[in-house]
Amino acid sequence: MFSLNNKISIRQMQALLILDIFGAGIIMLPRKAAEYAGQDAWMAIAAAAVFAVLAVYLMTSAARLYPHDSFVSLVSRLLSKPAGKCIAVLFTAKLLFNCAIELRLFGEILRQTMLPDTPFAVVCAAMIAVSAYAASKGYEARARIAQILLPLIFVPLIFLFVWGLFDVDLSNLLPVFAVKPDKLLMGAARAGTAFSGLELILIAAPFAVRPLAVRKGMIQTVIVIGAFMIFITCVTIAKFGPAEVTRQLWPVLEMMDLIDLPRAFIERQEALIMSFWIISNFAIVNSGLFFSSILLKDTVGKGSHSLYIIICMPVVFAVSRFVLSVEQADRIIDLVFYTLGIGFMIILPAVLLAAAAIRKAGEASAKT
Amino acid sequence: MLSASLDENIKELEDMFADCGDLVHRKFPVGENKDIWLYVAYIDMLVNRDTLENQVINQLMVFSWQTPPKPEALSGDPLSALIDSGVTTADISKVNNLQAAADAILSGDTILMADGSASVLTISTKGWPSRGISSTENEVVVQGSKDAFSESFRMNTMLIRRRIKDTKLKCKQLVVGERSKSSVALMYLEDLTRPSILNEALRRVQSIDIDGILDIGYIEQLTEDDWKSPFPMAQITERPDKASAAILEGRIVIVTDNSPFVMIIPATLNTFFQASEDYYQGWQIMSFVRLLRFAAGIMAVALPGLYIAVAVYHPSMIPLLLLFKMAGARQAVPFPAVFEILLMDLAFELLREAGIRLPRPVGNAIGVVGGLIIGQSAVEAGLVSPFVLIIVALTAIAGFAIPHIKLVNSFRLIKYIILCFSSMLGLLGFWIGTLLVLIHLVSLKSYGFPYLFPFVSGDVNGYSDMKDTLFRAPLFNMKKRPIFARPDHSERIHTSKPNAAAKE
Repeated sequence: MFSLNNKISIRQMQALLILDIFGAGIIMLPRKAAEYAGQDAWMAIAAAAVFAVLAVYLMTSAARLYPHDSFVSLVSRLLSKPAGKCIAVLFTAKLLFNCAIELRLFGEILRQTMLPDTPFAVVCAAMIAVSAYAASKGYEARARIAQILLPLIFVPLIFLFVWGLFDVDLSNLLPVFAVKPDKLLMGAARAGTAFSGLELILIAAPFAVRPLAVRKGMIQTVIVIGAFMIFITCVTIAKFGPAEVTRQLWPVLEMMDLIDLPRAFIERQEALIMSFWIISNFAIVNSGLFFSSILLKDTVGKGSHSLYIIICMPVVFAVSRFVLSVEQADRIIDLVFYTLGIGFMIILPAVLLAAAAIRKAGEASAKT
Repeated sequence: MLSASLDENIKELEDMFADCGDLVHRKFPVGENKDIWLYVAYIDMLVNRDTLENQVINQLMVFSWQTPPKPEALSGDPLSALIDSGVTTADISKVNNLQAAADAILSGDTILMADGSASVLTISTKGWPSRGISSTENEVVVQGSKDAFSESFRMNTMLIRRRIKDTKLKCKQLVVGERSKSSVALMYLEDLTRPSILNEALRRVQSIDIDGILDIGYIEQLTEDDWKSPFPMAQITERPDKASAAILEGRIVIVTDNSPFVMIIPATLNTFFQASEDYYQGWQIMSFVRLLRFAAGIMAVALPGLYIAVAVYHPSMIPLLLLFKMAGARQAVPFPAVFEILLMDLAFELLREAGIRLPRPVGNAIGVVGGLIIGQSAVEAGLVSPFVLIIVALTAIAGFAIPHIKLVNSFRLIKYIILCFSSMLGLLGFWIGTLLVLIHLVSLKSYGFPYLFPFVSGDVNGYSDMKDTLFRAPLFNMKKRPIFARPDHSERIHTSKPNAAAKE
């Protein structure tokens, strides 16, 4: 009936993945995609989504080698124990770093829009504390939170953007197919950063009740996320035009604020939008803390994951204080994605699959 | 162990009941030659005198004299011989030790001892005065039965049995409480209840080690899944129809002595928003009411916190005209908004508490005096703004719209957490408070069922439980029982759409 061992359904895993990906990357996405692809930014995002699907295929193929093994155990089996531990530590560092950067961006947006006088440290500590509390409750509880929060974020957002369609200039999206292939690829690479978080599939796959169904479920999720990204990018570019979009730091936020909702009850929807932003940031930080603690627990081999969450909390807090500006944070996000992100999403699964082929490892091989 | 000597047994029993003035006892001879000595004992007012005198005493004294038992029958165990000729009630049993006899007396039975017999006959003569079946006081409905459970254990089990005339309805009885020796019954439908839940419920009730159970609340608190949580983990009801409906859903109803309430397990948050009337009236209006209740639930928890977050931290969200009015109203108030809210809210809580303790006519007067006069005076004195008064009143009214008082009580506490965070961090604080509550809720389980089911993990039952959540589907459409029932007996309604056959 209901699992008592931290196993979750594919539906729950899908909800979690959507929330994990829906971070700072999304609100900057139209700018990044339009920088190279102009009004064809949506094509760049579509191309990025195709790459993301390929990455999911690779990661789930690697995870299927030993579907019930944890990430550390899988890598250790195929690449030796020390390599497994080193990669797990690197993965942990990447996750915690991502958490810190997301927090920094969140704090900055919050300072600009909602709480100009509240010190960043207070905001940061509050978010880390509530995220850690959620992470400490385990994977099942996190999955249930995602199921509740997902409609809370997406239904109003979709409504907002559909409403925004009434006040856009669709000619801003024309002419289509004007972008050159090299620019399209560059745009796709830039837009790809919005898919940061997909690498969590590698760690999450063994938590599924049916690990072999993870691939199909995750590919469906990436397609849905990609479609949503294309939708909001098209609306944003249609509203502002590609040139204006590339000049804005947070084009999606600007877009949301300009959508003219019937002002019967709410004067400005900025604070409403920030509510969605708070929830998505909470999802990202708690997922970072949770998976980091799982990786550390598996690497060290003892202790509960809650203990490692406590260890990770000050690290995230401290790192988030080091980043100086939004631009710097943006650059770091890109850098981490192009190095470690791609490394975990594509290179590591490819290496694992190659190692398994060479050593004829994997449960399927063992059976034959 | 008992001796064959009646006097010895009487002495031992009367030693046990020394200084118990409510024990009625008598030793008397029966038989043609008055040569068989008997002894009866019972507690005054715990027994039905009519039954005792007509079915037992009269039988023994008169009929045993008119048709005396045969001497050979009396040569063995005289008590056995008397059972056949002198006691005309069916509900009797034999016990072999005095402690069991004493327990029977204390439960309202009458004991009968005979000289020469090393056993005691317990005769069920329970019949204490009770207030009978009264009408519901706390869970009033417009359409639906009016009878309510009472303090009588057997009457309560009867009220359920009367609604479910099925031999598969089981009534597993236990005695809990070292001194109170309270009867506790687990009522369930054998073929619907999941064995794992039944075993777990039995284990929890059997593991209660306490001197006395005075109300179902004791059992609720001693068997709940998470004692730290302010949220109720079991439903408490005074309505037999609600308890019976729960049994038909595969859940378990726990009945205990001296409590006019019964407990229903397992429970999820969704079940606390359901009232029996929801199923007696049309799905359209009841869906609307259900939606209203959920909205009321959100208001009862979040309204004061949201008001503080928006009014203090993000006034730009408020339409300009309203903002001016609010600012004007607050101009003369010397306190911060959060203090205003706390002041009025605590005043309301005080009134509520006073209203409960006072006699009903005075209690109603307190509500009027408190609500109207104190509220208006506070506004006129400039202690609070009228907007705060509206917020506090709306929050309180929202609480009354929720059918389960225990859930309302938890909301009364939780709202302070959200208010506290909102007053510190505005909308961010509001969400942090809300997320903390949500995290707590998702981690709760009642007998293994997620507390937020079917809003989470609804796919486990193919989302069929969603038909009875924010909206209530038409009855003919709710073909499956909720998740609580055994999967192999999940079908419950076989009727298709009304008039479907006629149209064909």
